[in-house]
Amino acid sequence: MDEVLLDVQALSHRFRLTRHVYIQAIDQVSFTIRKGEIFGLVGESGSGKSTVARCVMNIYRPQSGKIFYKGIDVLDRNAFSENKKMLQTGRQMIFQDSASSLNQRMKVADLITEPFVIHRLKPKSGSLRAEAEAQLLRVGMDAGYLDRYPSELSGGQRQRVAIARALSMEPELLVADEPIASLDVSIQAQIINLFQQLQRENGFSFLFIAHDLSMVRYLCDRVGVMVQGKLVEVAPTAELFPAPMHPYTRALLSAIPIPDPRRERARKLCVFDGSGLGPGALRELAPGHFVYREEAAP
Amino acid sequence: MSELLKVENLSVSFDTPQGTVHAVRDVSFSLRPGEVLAIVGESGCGKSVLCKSVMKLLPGTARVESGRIIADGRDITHLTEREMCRLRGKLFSMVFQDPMTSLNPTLPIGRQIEEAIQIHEPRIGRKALHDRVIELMELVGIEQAEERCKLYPYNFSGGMRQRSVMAIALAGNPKMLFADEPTTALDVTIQAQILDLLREIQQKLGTATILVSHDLGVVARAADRVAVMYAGKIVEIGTAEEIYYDPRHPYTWGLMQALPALAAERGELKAIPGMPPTLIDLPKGDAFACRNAWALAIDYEEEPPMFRISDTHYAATWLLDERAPKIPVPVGGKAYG
Amino acid sequence: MIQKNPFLYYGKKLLSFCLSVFVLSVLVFYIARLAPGDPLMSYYGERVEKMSVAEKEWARDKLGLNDPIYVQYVRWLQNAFRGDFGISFKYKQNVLTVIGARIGNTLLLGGTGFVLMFVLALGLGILCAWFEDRWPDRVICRLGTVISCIPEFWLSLMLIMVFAVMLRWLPSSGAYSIGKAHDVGDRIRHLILPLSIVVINHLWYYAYMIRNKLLEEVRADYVLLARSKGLNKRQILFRHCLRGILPSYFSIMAISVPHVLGGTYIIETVFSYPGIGTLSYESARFHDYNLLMILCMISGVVVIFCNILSQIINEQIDPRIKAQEVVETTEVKRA
Repeated sequence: MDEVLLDVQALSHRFRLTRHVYIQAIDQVSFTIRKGEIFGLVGESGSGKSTVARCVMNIYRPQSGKIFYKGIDVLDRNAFSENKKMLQTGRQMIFQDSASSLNQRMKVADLITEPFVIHRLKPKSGSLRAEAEAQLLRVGMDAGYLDRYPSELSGGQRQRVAIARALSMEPELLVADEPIASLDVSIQAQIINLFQQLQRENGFSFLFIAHDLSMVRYLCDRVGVMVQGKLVEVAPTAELFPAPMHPYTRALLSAIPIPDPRRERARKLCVFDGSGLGPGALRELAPGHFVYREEAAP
Repeated sequence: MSELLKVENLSVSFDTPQGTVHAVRDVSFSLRPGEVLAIVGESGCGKSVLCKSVMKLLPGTARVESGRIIADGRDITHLTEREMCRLRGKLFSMVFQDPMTSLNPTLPIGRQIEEAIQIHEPRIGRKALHDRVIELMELVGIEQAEERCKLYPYNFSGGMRQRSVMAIALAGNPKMLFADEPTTALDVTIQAQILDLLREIQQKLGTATILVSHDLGVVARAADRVAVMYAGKIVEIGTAEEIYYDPRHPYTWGLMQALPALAAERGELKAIPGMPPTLIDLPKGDAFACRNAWALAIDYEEEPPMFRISDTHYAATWLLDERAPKIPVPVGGKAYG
Repeated sequence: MIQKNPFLYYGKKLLSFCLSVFVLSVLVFYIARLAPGDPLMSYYGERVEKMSVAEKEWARDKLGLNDPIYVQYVRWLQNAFRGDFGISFKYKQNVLTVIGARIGNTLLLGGTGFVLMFVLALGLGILCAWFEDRWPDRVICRLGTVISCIPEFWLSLMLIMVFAVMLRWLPSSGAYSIGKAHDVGDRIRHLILPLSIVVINHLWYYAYMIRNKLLEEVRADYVLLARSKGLNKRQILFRHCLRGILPSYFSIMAISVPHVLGGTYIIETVFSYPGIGTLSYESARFHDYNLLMILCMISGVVVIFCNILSQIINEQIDPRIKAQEVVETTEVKRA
């Protein structure tokens, strides 16, 4: 359990807008994900959490920093091409909007088995179709959906297909970028339960990116909080929610709505004043509990 | 007069190439002056269509099949567009989900508020108009209104835009405000601020509000009464306390159990199996029966009527019939009250 | 927030304008001279055939046609900067005089056509959007599709046949009847047919564009808010939606100037209308280098100017484009 699977060190990325203008999307972000762990990354829109996911998946090439997956530097071109197959099958990603991330012109069966075709792998179940059926069953759908197109499915079913596709490669790291944000409450719960069940069965590590803090609290073992491109607090869920330390985390947690009229009406909001984001670094203030602290310039 | 808005047996449907969508089916409810009624349900349950059909903002493919809408003592079910124009903004007004797109990008904020005022007070003087704009902007919590009224929507953040939309909606001093998922597109920290603003305005001006949301957490903060909608029908309606602490409909139970905020305390997240039915061909009997773990044989045969639990609390489930078996309520506020 | 320096902004635009015009002049100069054909034809006409080789050589030397092309170009450029664009080989007159006599006619035809077309297109577009999918909209859209499929020269011939030959209501060619050069009524009568073609041919495309853009705006969320605050359909369409599409309409208007200009040239030729369209055609056919050069330059300058104008309209007027800039700059400020 303690073996580190993914190690992100001082990752920074910026987007160039014009010749002289940049957005610092992520700024010196460091965290690790251990084997079999569910790590939640939370933050508001524009905080850079999706950019982190895309850097981890080699979709963006970060401006600086290092990403080690199983000790392999995935940003190093030589190391990457040597381990290409392992890196590409071992890490899988699920996006928020599966309506656009699944090819609309492919049938469910072909969508699920496409990774096998790309990587020229032999499916365990013998034929591609049998493999597709087996994967579909794992995510709680029956073989009747094999010949449907994504547009004929509901949002929750499409997300299940995306999960089946990602898990068909038996990944060790699953990255999900807001996988439930566009689903209804009751369907969200179905997908989260599915994630939990599959994670228990397969033991993959999971980077779960979300803005719904209650869901992160329910699902994740450890949580990282991002704001304005900086990772301001990383701690085990059980420690972070009762005792947030960074002012931003405090404001964010105070804003979680409680489905209970009396308590909710009495809840006081804590407004983030923008403090605590100057130059600084993460400090371990309690065992396993890292908080971003400003440092006086030397 | 005790009721500001009374909707009686309203049914609304849309004609689509796939067939007729029965978006609102036989819905009745009333809204008293100065109260906040929340309508909760999943996407496509007809909650948004319900609001828009009261204001007649639906596209041409929609039609009211039956029922009556009585607003401020007047039957407005069959009013013409011209007559509705006179009521909109003055009797009722609406706030929409996405503040990024609901403001006209080509006009300054101040101008858009001015316009809303001028519709109902065409003779208003320049100075009075400007003062009213500033007053409205301050009412919705926009600071430095004097400078900001000249800015365009793109200069504003999401929260500020939603405040501006509220200023526009309140410009005609409406008696009713429809807020259609007003916080869904906003960040968590802004959400609560907008809800508090909604509550504050309702207390200051006495505007009755219908708050549409899919989120029971959001609703808990602002609502006096809550109506739960499923497949075009109101399945349970009651005061916020009744709905949260003593829910009676299995769908309401399901929604509560699917909430991670409660699940984190209980350590278990229970999903409602299956999917909401399409509103084109609805199953016979209760539309929720096939997803309902407590479904009775009669649920598949006949739609349940509204059972009265108290003067304010009603639910449409056969479980409340005298002949139904008594089952322990799986959720209820007592445990987390 | 980063404020753009207006001098720098317009300076850059001016620079790109000058550069484009320079490149254009080089290209036109070279291509005209590389094209096969004998420029002496336009200068001496039929006589060329009777000229000896030595005479031809002498004539070429006199006209400076024997020098390498770049020498000829530099000479042309030097003269051009002094305002001397040379003489027309065919008319044996200063090219500016030749053009001056004709350009008024083209401006009248093209300019009036352009304005009429855009006003009508706007009107038709609004009409269609107002009656979306009802009969006025359907009729106009169908009619437009059919008419815009007809080539303009054919349409011109049909109109000439009907109105000039069969009905004898309107003259078939020219800009004025002989001896009536200063009769305004006569000029207008001559203008009607070519003008109708200019307008009818381009009208539909723009009307359709206005219609679709308007309908796109009508479906925008802000229209719902505008309706819920009590605005009626007319107020929403004219005060809100039209405002949203006009900047892009203006910019498309600017881009379409060359489009309309090109159409005018063809129509002038069909109606033997004495404008610079017919002149360009002649000059290209007879290798009247100086005339061709100046005509190309005039058209080119108009085209380049209009393109840059449309860019400026797009960047300066449309608040949505500014909006993107603001998003970018605020994020930068944050970073």
